[in-house]
Amino acid sequence: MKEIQGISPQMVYAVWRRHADVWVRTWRTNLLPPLVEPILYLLGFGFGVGAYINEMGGVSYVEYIAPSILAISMMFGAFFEATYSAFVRMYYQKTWQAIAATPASASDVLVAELLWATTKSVTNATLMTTAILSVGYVVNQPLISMQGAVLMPIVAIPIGLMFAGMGLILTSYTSSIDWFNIPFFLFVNPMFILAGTFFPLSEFPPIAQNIAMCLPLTHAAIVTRTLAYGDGIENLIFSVTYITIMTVIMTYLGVKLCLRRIVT
Amino acid sequence: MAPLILKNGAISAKSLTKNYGEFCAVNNVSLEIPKGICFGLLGPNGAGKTTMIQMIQASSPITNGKLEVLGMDTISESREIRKKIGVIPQEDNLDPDFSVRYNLLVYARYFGIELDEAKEKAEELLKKVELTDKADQEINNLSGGMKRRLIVARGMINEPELLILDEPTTGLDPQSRHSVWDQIRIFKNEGKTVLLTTHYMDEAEILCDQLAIMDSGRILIQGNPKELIKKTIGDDAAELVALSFGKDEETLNLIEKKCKLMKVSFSRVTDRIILYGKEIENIISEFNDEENLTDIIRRRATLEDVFLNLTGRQLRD
Ligand SMILES: Nc1ncnc2c1ncn2[C@@H]1O[C@H](COP(=O)(O)OP(=O)(O)OP(=O)(O)O)[C@@H](O)[C@H]1O
Ligand SMILES: [Mg+2]
Repeated sequence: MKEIQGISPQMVYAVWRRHADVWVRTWRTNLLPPLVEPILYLLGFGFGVGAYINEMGGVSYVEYIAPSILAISMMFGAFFEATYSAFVRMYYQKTWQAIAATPASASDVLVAELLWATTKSVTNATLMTTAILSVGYVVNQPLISMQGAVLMPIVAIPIGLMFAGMGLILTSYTSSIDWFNIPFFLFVNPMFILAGTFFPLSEFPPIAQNIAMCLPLTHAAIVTRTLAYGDGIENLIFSVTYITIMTVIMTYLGVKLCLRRIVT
Repeated sequence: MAPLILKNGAISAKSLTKNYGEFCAVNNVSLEIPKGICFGLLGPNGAGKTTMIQMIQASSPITNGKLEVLGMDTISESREIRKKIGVIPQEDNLDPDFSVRYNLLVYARYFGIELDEAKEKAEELLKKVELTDKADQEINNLSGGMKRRLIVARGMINEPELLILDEPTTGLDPQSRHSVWDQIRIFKNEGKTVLLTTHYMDEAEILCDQLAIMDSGRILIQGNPKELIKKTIGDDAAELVALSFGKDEETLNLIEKKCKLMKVSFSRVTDRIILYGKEIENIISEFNDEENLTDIIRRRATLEDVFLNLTGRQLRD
């Protein structure tokens, strides 16, 4: 059992490379679509709705939502990959099963899934940061600080891992790909609005604030917002602790539950 | 009979058991497969063949007993085992995201094979299974037979010592089937071991030096195909075929009764009864003039007879 489930870094890398190879082969269809929606949000809400809003949380509206959109794209990058895409590999393409007959173990496969989903989170963060910097350049209004821009792909690692772990937990459970719509509509999409992303938590009634403080996206957005503005770093302790603990629990559970499903 | 212990066994199972929850898929199986032979695992749907294979490829943990492959323990040395075996799975699981050639290259990476070497190996294998022309095709553009041949090639990318094939020729046309057989023979001629499952008795008879017939997780019988036929059935068989399918149950029931009475072994399959052994003529003479029988076919006994005789005629799920 130990050996069947053990983890080998070389094997994890080999599996990760497989996913990366697929991505590179189809980069044209992969690179832009994930960016279109967040950029529309940025332009549409930021400048469109923002025209009617003087300021929010002490900054212009477009500056307010730019870091939120970064957090959201980190979340989607990892979550989508660890749910829909991972399920396709497990269930339809039998990629996991094919790899199970090689020296790679089931655990290698799952850890590689986590890392790949995190990679998607990091690429999304990088691309979105670039896009936001470009938009800022065009409108001659830096939307995020330079230090913040550099740090975004780095914080995408723990944030991506956390959402990847949550995704794998769902993947360990689902019986069909359509089932993922339920957590997406009941959890991910509401979180999108509730996490202090489009208007500050302080506008919420206290009970909603408490709920929001339990949501992972809230803390991801607090981190990206703080980094984007470059002040108040010392107030991050709670969110960083939250993300660290959640990352450990979610990735552990995700791998463990998926193992239970595939190693029978 | 105590299981024969062979020093140089390729696969050695002792009281091997596999449970899925409450359900027992492999039940206390002991099996010794020596190196250098082709061993067949036969059995009806759900017999436990794929389950056996997944334990042997050390990707599915065993519930009880002991299982060694190439002298290594499937629990503590599973990675080492998988490094030295090639697996051709029952279900197609080629990577649809890659071309034919790239499927081999990606697979080679899991075995730690360097890219240059993998490329060379891939060309060689594609040539062997006659897919060189298709090297740059997408997987979805391949026919079923081509996919199978590619999976066979993929299973040999690491130059395995043991090749495991789970129903390698199911759904193939005769040409592709022969091509897969050729690969198996070439592989075996290098002195390496083959384990295969199949539902085609002719295939088992042609390819296998030894085989075991499983049913409901147990091994019913094991040995050389020709000897098994001789031992369990004898040389001869005769088929008594009913006139109209379904309607002539009565006649068949009568023959069945008679066989039981005279202790002649038989199998009943849909529209016919197949008789085995020396006493065949006694039964035939009695029903020679039966007008509800269209045909009486005398022939040599085959492995299929052994199979039907042992596993009965009811359908499996
Ligand atoms: N992962 C699993 N969980 C629960 N039951 C399983 C699992 N895999 C197989 N089984 C059950 O174990 C039994 C043996 O299945 P197995 O796939 O080994 O049969 P098989 O001999 O390969 O059949 P076939 O000829 O149809 O391929 C079947 O009853 C099957 O339903
Ligand atoms: Mg099977």
